Amino acid sequence: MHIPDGFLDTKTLAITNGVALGALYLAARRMNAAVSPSRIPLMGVLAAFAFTAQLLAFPVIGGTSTHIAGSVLLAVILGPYTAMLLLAAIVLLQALLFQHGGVLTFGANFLNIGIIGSWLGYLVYRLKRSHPMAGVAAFITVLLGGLAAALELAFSGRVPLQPALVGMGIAQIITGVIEGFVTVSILKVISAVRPDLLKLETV
Amino acid sequence: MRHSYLDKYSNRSSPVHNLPVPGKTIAFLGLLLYYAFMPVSRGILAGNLAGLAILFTVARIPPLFIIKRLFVILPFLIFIVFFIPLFQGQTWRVAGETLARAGCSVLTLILFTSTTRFTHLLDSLSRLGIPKIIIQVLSFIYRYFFVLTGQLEQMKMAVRARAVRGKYRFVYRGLARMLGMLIIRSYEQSERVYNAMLMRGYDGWGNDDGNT
Repeated sequence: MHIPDGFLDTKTLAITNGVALGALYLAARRMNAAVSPSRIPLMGVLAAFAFTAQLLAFPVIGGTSTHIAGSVLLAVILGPYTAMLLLAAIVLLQALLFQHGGVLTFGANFLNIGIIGSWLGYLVYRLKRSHPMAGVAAFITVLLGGLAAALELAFSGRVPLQPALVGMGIAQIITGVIEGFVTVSILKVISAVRPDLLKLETV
Repeated sequence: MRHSYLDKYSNRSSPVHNLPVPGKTIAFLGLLLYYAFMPVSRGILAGNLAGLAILFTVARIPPLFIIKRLFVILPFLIFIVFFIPLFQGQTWRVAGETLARAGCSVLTLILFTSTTRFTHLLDSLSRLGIPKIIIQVLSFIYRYFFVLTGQLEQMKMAVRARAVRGKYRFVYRGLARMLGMLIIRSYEQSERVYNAMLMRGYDGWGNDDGNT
């Protein structure tokens, strides 16, 4: 759910962009301290992977389709701070190149997809580091990310809170199940073919 | 094979394309801020749309491309319109205002990205103070997007050739495995790329000459 420009009011824009910039500042500081330059090509190529994977349409009932976000996947492989930073780049690029999302709504979309996706997803995954848990984390983050988007739209006075949460919730449950399933499948493929990719140092 | 373009039409030449990029970026951000705050009336809206239409014509961006890109705001618009009858005190005016702001913003975004080369865009983003690490990641995404979509297209073609159709479960499993292979291929690619870059003197942070 990438909210385009024009759909949020000024106070919501200010709050979400504030939170996003704060989170990015923390991530950048952590990265500068803990990451060696050898990680940058790996990060870049995996970000390109997540960006490309989002263009693959997964069919849902009746001609509609959805795509995966891959945020929990990135967090599991590279760690939450790295994933957050990569998702910031991805969300920004989607807004600029495909108009999926907006420039002023970057904060809101980064909060819904990047921060919830990487940090919350990683915290859930950490409860029990297993593939099914990563799937559960992916489901939860997609659901909560959608609910956060509904909350932001309601806070901007564009939609009524309760019905919007219900509507968005139902849509995101479907998307979330797909995200969870795909996350688990990808992790399975990786551990079968290149298990070392799952044993990298996470930041 | 079909090739994808990310910043289609941006490498052409027109008075709009040739505007100095830093100035264009600032004007673009200013315009977006303006659309977030502007008082919405028919006159103001008509004036802005006319201005954008002139710029699009000067830049020779095909109308069909613009219309296709405009569709991205549709799901959110439906979401808002759907709730109007349920929202007490809510009127069509809010939906109309949202449509006006969103429409103008998206048009501006389309105009800016289809008249600015990606490398120039990255340059002005880094001048705006976006952390270097994000610029590096952006330039990697831009380069490898083409490689990876090529690989994805190849895999899709292979799957089509083997006639994998039918039940959702199998379609999903196929798509998920395809992504699994794509991530491994990208990882192996990144190892080769890193070795090659290291040999050519890469220090991890790029050079300051603004080339990407």
